[in-house]
Amino acid sequence: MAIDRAIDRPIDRPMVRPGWTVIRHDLDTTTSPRVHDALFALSDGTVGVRGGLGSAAPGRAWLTLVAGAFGVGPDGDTMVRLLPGPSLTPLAVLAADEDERTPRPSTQWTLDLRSGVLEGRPADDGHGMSSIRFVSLTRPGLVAERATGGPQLRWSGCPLQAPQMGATEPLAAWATYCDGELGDGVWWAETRSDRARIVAVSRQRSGTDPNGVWLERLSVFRGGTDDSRRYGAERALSEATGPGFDDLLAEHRAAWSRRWDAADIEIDGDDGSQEAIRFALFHLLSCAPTGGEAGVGARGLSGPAYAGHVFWDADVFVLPVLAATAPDAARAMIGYRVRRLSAAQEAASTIGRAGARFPWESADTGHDATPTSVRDHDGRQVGILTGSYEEHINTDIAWATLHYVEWTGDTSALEGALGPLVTETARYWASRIRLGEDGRAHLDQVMGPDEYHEIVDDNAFTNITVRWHLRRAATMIEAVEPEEASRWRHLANKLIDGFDPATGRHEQFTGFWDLEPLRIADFAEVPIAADVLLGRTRVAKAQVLKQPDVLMAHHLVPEELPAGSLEHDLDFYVPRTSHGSSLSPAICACLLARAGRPDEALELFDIAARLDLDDLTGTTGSGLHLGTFGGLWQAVVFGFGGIRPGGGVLRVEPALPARWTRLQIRIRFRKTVLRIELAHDRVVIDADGPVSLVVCGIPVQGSSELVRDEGGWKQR
Amino acid sequence: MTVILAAIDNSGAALPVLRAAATMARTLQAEARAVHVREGTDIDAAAMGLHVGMSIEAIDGDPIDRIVEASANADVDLVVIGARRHVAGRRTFGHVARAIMTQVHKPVLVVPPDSLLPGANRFQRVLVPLEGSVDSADAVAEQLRTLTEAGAAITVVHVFHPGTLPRFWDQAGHAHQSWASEFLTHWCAQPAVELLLRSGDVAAAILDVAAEEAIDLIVLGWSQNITGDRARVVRDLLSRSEVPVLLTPVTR
Repeated sequence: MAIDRAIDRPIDRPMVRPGWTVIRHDLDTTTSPRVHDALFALSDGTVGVRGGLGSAAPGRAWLTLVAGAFGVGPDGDTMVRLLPGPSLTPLAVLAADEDERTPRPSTQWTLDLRSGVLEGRPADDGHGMSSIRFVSLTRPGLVAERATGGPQLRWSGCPLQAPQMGATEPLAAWATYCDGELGDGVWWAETRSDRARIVAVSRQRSGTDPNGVWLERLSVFRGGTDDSRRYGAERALSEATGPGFDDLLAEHRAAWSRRWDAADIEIDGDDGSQEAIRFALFHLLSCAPTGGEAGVGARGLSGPAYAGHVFWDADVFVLPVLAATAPDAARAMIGYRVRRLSAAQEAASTIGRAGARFPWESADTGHDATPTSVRDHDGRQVGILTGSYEEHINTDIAWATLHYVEWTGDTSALEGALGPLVTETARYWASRIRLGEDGRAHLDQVMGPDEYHEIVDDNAFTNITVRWHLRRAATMIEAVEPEEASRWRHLANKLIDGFDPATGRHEQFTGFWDLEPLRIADFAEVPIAADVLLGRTRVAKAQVLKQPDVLMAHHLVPEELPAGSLEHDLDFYVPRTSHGSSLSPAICACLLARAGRPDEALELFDIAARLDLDDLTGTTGSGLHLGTFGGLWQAVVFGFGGIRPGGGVLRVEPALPARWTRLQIRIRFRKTVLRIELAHDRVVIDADGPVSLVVCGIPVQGSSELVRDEGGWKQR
Repeated sequence: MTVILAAIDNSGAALPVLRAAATMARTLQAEARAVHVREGTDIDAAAMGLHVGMSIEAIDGDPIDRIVEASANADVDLVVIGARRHVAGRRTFGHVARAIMTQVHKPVLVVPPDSLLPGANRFQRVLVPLEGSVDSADAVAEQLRTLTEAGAAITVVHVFHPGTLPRFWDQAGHAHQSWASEFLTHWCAQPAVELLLRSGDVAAAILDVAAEEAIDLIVLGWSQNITGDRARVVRDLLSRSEVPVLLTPVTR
């Protein structure tokens, strides 16, 4: 089952592994160096280190971020945001006659996705530094670096320094920094905000050998609120020092190898798609630890954007990937929500509702961290309404919880800590729904995923997913609370969903059909930020969408929508979707593939695939779009692969684009690791344990092979 | 020492040009000089020079040739000229000014005849329109560094128009900050610079910001090609700006 055990490679040999490496050069002036820093960010889910060990060009943000460590932002900014931790001093290698501030130019950076190692070496094979860095997948918070240089070179600096926020973002006035030497080559440093601290300890040693100068540096980062963190970091550093660098590297590479064994995706016939999906998977597989809790922010720990806040991106876009590949990490993500349930219950109670109301954006405490206003493109201060109205986050969390259980089979978890994530959120909806004089149930004044239309009644996505939510929750409580279960079902059955039998389509919200009919695809090349193009007022009055809304319901709960409505809704809504949200193209691609339109789907898939690799948003430098990565994986697995769990069975119904000659997906379904090989006329299942599948409509057990001929699919 | 060279003619624009040159000289701690190419009936250059505390050299010959020649002096870092005519309510510039702008490969400060100059006698609030290209960013980088060191507050404005619209704009509460941060870092990595975003007609948006932010100098990179429909934003700004516009040529 293992796909690559050849993990040993001397540092003096270039790291080139076809399909597994992402390479950039420092001298590429067309791209902001900060984009490289984000692309090469390394993380284990507890600490994130932005890439690049050598150069210190102006504007680069030498940031180290630690999960869960937040603070209130700089003067005049009340937003809770990730606290920058002590930075690792750049490993500049200097010629004897150079000033210490002079960086060595021209480094080629290679990120080896297979082993989770970032390598830098002189681009012209001239003098300079060769280096590797990894964030250990086996020892939380450990960053290891090694560099070698010629004999005429020397090292500069001590291992830790104050956070370097970039030229346009002066060192945060909201954080204090201090450091010191502990002796024996060990240094410590700490940043502290009003509510958290990040401590780092680092051991650096260097020497010479016949090949020149070498340096090794091990650093451990811990975040929290108490003084014990430093001692924990010192202990972890001491434990890591024992095995030595080579053994640490070997165990890290082996851990990555194991993780890829249950997660890799191979795409034949399309190098671009192959690079993009592996790059996405690499960052997804390292965005959450496999223990404790994981509050995965929209940009993970790859940059400061979005303040480290946790949105629905985590629950709906990222979690499915981990549920199917690294279930312990998915469990940690759900653990983040579990630990903030009481804050959600308090939030519901505060507004006179029952159950739990999770915030649209949350940080450390679980209280609402959504900003309330912002300057728009015309310089006006405008209100941000997502925190007040985008309440579907409640059902997104319930969906993620049940989706995790579906993949893992961990039903006992629902009887324990995970259950209230479904039932308490349903209880909120039951207290929120209004029964109208028309005999129907309504959800007034909500915001759906299409945020161009901010406050609407009976948003189809919200109502349909809440209906599903109430029904699933009712099943969970009916043994102990039969009356409440019955009421939830009654409300679910009464909720209107905007479906129009005459057209076979769903109305996005009450009154949507009356808006200005506008097909954005007819007059602008998408993706386009339609709110910038047309103005917020115009898009609010037009049938222009930021991202799938009705279609998102098809994506999450397809069983809740009438058969055949997907095609009608796709035909209507895709031309009206601007894809102004980076989450949008991949989900539309997924649905188009599911509807049997894979080549059309691939056009949107390609956009999502290049979003960060080509910095299509202009914001990659401040962090990677993990939600897009999650959507990309879902487009491949749920869309082109047609793979979907349900009722303890895994269904496989592939729809490959013509460009792809073969797609191979590795996933873990209910403790069984599967290799699913898909071609246009052949499906091969390789399972390392028992598993029930329905492949192209044919029930099969475990490893099997199916082929398609003129008579359709047949099992061999 | 940096020399600011003011080129004046017989028009009423001469005095504002001299004042703007003096202001720029004070801002950059530079020396201001002026040249006046005699044409027919002369203004009292000496008196005007006394008025602004600047010596004025009167020279003979073809105005364009002589000013370009004087500008080519290695000491001269920046040339100041005036925009003088009014046509149907819009200001324009004469053939001499046009030739200086396109032939002198140094920054040229174009001063409106009714120019608003800063009360503090220094340029303190500088607006820099950036479109997000290597050429335009490189063109203004040196001037921005100099002005920043001189204590000027720099405001960058980027105007979204159909050719530069962002493809994605995610959560409104965060997208502005992250987009602005990356834009500034890439195109204007100076400390303490503020970025304002606008949308619509580029020149109109720049002038609106200049008024709203009480800007006293606009710094703009340009290709020095003003033929046909080229440099429409430059021409619009020069014809409507109430504050001096410093044009800095792209270097490649």
